[in-house]
Amino acid sequence: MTSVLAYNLIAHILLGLIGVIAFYAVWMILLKEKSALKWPKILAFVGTLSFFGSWITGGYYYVKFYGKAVKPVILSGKYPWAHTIITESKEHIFLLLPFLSIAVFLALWLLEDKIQSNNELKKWTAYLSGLIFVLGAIIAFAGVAISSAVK
Amino acid sequence: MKVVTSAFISAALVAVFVVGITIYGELYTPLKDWLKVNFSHHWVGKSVLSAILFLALFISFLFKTPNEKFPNFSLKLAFWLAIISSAAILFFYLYEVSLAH
Repeated sequence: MTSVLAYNLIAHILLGLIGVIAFYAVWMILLKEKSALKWPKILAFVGTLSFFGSWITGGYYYVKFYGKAVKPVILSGKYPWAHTIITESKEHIFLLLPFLSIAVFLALWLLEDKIQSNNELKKWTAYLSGLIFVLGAIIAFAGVAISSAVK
Repeated sequence: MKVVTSAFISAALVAVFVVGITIYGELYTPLKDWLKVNFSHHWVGKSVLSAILFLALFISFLFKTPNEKFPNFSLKLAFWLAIISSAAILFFYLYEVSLAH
C-alpha cells in the first residue's frame, strides 16, 4: 500500500469515528429534558463534515486498493463472508449517513426554537441522531471485522 | 421549515433508492455494469447518483412541501425508512450468501 493510500485509510477511519462520536454527543444532549442547542449545532456540523470526508477518503481507498488487493485475499481466505456480507452491507448502508446527518444538521440550525418548544420534534431529532450513531458504530465495527478477516 | 422537511423527506427517499439500486444491481448485472462503465466503479456510481437524487429531491420538495408547523412526520419517515433500508441491505446479502451455499 502506498503512503497516500495509507493516509487515506487513516483519514477515513478517523473522520468516520469523529462523525460517530459527534452524533452520539448530539443524541445524548438532546435526550436531556432541558438542553441548550449550542453544542448539538456545532457537533452536528462537525459530524456531517466528517461523514462527507470519510465518504470521499474511504471511497478512494475502496476503489483504488480494496477491490484489487484486499477483496481477493478475503474471498480466498477462511472468512469470505467478511466481504460478501459485511463489506457489501457496510459500503451501502454507509451511503445513508451523510444525508441523514445533513437533515439533522439543518433541523438543529434552522429550527432551534421549535426543537426547544416541541418535545415530539426534539425527541425524534434525538432518535435520528441516535440512529446515525448506531449505524455509524456498526459500520466502524464492521471495518474492524473486515480488517481481521485479512490477517 | 420547508428546508428541514425537504431534507428529511429527501434523505428518506435516498435510503429507499440506495436499497433499490443495490439489490437491483446485484440481481440485474447490466445495471451494475452500466454503473461501472459510467462511474469507474459501481459504488462510485451509487454514491454520485444518491447525491444527485438528494439534491434534486431537496430542491423539488422545497416548492411542493406544505409548510408544516413541525416537521415531525418527515422526521419519523426518515428514521423508519433508514432502519428498514439498512435491514433490507443486510438481509439481502445474508440471503445471497445463504443461496450460494
